Amino acid sequence: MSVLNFPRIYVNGHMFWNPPTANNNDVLPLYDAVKMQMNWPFLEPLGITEANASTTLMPWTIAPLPLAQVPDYVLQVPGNGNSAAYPMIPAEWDLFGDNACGTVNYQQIQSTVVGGELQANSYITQDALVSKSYQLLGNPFGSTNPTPARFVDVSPWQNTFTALYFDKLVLGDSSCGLTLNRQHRMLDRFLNFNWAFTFGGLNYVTTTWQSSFPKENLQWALGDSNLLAQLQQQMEQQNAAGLMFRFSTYLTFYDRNGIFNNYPHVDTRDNTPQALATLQAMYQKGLDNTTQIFFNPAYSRTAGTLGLWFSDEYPTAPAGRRLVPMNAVPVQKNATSDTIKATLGVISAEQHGSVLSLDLGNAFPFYPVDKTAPVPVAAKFDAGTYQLGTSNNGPFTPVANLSYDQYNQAAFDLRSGLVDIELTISQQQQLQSGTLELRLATDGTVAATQQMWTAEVIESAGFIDVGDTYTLNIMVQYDGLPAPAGTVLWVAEYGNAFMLTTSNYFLAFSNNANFPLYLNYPGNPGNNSSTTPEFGTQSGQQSSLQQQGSGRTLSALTTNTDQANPVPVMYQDYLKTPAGVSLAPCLQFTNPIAMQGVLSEPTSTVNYSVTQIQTDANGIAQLTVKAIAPGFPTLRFFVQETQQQPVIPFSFSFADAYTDFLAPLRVLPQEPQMEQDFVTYWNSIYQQQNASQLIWENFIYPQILQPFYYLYPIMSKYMPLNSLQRVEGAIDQLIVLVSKDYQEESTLAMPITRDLPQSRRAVLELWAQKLVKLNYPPMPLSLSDFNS
Amino acid sequence: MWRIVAIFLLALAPAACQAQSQQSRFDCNNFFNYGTSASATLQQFNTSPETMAWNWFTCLNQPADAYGLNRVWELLKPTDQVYLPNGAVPLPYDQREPTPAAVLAQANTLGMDPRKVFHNLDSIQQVDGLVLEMGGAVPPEQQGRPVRFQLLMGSDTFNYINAQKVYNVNGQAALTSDLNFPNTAWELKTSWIWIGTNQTFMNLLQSDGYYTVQAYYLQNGVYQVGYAALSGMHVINKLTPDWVWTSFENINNSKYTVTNAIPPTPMHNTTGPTPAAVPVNTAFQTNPVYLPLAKYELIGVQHQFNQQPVLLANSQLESAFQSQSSCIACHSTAAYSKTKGYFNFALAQQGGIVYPTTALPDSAFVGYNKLDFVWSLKRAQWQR
Repeated sequence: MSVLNFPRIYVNGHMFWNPPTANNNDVLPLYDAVKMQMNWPFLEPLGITEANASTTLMPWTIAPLPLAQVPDYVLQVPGNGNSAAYPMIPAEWDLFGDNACGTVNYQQIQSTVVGGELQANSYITQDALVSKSYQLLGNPFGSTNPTPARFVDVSPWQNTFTALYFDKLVLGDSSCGLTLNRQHRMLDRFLNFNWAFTFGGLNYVTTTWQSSFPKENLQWALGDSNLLAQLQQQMEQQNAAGLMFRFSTYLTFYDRNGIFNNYPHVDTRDNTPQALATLQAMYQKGLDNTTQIFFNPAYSRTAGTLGLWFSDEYPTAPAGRRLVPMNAVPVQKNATSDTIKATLGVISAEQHGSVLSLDLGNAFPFYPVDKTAPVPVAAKFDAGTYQLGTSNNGPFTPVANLSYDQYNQAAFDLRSGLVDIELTISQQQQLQSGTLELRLATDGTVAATQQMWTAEVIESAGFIDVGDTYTLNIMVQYDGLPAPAGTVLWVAEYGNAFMLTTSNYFLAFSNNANFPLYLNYPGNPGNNSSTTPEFGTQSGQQSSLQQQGSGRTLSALTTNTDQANPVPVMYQDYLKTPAGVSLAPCLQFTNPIAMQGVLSEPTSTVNYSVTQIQTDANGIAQLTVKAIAPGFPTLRFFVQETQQQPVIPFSFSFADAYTDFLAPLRVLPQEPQMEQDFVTYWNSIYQQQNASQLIWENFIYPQILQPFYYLYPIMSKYMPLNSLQRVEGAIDQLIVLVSKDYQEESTLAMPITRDLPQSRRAVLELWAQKLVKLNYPPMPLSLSDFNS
Repeated sequence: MWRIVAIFLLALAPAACQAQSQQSRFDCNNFFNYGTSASATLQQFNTSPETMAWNWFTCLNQPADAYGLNRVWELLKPTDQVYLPNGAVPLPYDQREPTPAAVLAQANTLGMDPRKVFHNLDSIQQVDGLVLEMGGAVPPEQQGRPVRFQLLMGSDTFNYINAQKVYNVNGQAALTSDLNFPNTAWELKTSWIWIGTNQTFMNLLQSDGYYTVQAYYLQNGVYQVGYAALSGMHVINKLTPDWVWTSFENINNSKYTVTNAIPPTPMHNTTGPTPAAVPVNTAFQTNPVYLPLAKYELIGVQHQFNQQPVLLANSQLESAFQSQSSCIACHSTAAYSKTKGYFNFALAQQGGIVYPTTALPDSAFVGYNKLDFVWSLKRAQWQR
């Protein structure tokens, strides 16, 4: 089923990603996103304080920062210690980013429908829909002009999970096309950092996105398109729930201004003094004059498929039988090039009738043909020929072959990575008789094996407040089918211990447990290594992985060969630094089960909680959690396959997260005292002639809007958040855009990163609605006004 | 005075008499009160709203006196003289709070004419909360700075506000019924390209047909004094029950103002001139009698709901939301509630913001007193 079913419509093109990099900072802990404040303890030693920030912070943010000024606790974080990366500009590569994303249709660079298929191996290019553009669009902003979709990292310092907010997907136009109105936002899946490590850079990372649209959310303009007509007809005939759109993004490149857009050229990867001075000057111009603001988006290639969606399928992640990588296989660009060993990515497989369809959108690694090309072009590595078959506790029965010509770039571009293989009746039966495996034909290396159980959260990447109760629905499948009722899932909460760069996950615990967080090589922090301690082992001697680069510059994860004696840096010690993040639980399970584990060397007891949930008749389990502390909890689900409780690891690498079953959440702080303080303060000044100025200067700006002013310089073009006049003049719009209703799904939600705690929202709304909208009445407020 | 001025204008271009259309012979005498007969004016208006809009525009732009120092509309009462700080009672219509001494001092230094009006261009934000940026051919020091705005009202508008004591929020909060302005109520909203003291830029704008004035505004406690060029003007009156909505702007605005796109692009009007306005524009713009107004164009006229044009916007005053801008619909939401404040016409729809382009149902205004389309009342302050 899913997009692997027929009919299909294929799209191909380019994506842009425009994040605000002063916020999404890969290297420096500029923003304490747990407390939702600028990270003053980090900034103050640099001479930047709350008192002088209005004149010091932005100049510092855009000025080259030399290595000598980077604190040790920042440099020591694995990936951050490469001295060649400094000086760096703290704002990084896209100061004015607005979180927009979407497909590119600029001059010769187009994102279009490229073809379709009504049945296996019957590719159609002659159709009225083919060559028309497609786009993800946002919600309207007082105009019929389209607004972009937006992407938001659930955690500003963790690249593993990004939510994609959009209002609609539009294929074609009003005369021939299809508009699909959003039901489910997207969350990236199978984000595979391993290829960055293997091949050297984020260019090689691939991820998968998916959303599904109920029938009633579709607006058809069939025109002369047989592809659209067939899709609509088959949706009805097969009683599908609606349509599914799945796409992959890969081959990400930076600094492509002037090629993919008409923004001024900039090279933010060059950290020579001259290049840094140029970038600083350009940023300064943009800060001084909003007409000089420029974007510097990243760009990826993309390929996707629109197909049928059935009600028992995960709406936001590939369902069906899933193969995950096992052993590395040799790959090479061509017969004469070097061979590199690499693991494959995730493969989805579905059998419908006599056809086996594989989704290889995220399966085989690729490389840029020419890294210096203005418009990068990808080619698939030749990873050899494979046999797909079944394994029953050992014996392998090959069923079908998969060769390079089926997964090379041309094939990928044609069908967005989908491959259809005709099967005989016996082959069909054989494929149903055991666990799927993909083996290298030459030597039988098991490249991928079936992940029999899968569990995907429907409502992913939620933002909740401390005190909120939140329920997640988890769709569980076994062998590609809804799990039997009563299937048990164990759930544990994990967190990240650094306030900068993507890092490993650790179990949330409630006591003062301690463990080596990373291994420090004094004098050579570039070799520092992260750890993944586990219960019952010698945690300080865990095999450590050395990460090269962080954020955009992440390029390798290798076994550390430094012969020097590293110094373990303990979690409890790092927690005292301005970049430490507590691993205390942010969530409380409804039915917690208290657990205890012991780490060794040093011995440390870990008190943590897990819970058990069970699937219903539809294979769906519900988990209810209560938010108890601000932070970035990531829930991990473990299927209990036997009578034994599954092993709950103390930690796991972010590089492995792409095949785990994870649900990231963000818990925003609750500050109930703020509401009382606001009322008290207003009541002390409301009779004064300058009450409006006082409540702004002493409350609204410093306590609520200030961090957003610093983190989103793009707002200065539309609503400068440090200007009472400008905010007052846009109060009607602000009231709509900060509303709780809009936080969940609107692409225009303020703040765009959705990190506005309810207490701050309540104060902001009361100020806007009861003071600004009434022109600051000389009357006292009461706490009951928050409820009116 | 009006007749004298009309003769003065005609005398400027005697050779054009043959080419003058009927519009040029419009009698500006007492035009704020529709001459001798509102019904006759209405009849004439219904014949060609666009012609009447141009007639009013020419009357407003006559010299206000024999010296030609100011134009008629410049002597209307600006809102900063009506809605005073602390909600104080405004001075009578013809009297003015004094121009700030700091402004006059700077003006003196700059050699400005103290007999001319100093316009307080006190606003920069449009009703969608955004500003319109200057760009294109403006000098570097003005790039990115906002186009400025000033609202003015006629005597009967002011007198009604005064009589109803709604010049402050205390008075608006005390309302027990909707407001109902007299049919001789007029308001103007003007937009301005800030010149400052750059004589070259002023010459450029004047050569492109912009009318320039002496102006000032307060920024961070400091008065900025200089010249400004009129880029747009809404002219409204209550000749019809839902008011008459007309809008003019300079045809060269796209040279000096830009969209908020990144990078910015020239700002154009996407709602007009309407087909009905086009020939009328040509008639007036090519009539030498109206040479000082030749670079201004009428965008269109609205006076009834659900009639063409449904959309009407000035590129200088409704820049970014032109595609959802309807003067009559937007102003029909002018309303005040003691508990909710001023009506929010930024409608939370489709997961975003939508502006009304037709009348909202009465149910939307439960608990509000309607302000008879006059949104300038939002500028009122509380008397503390």
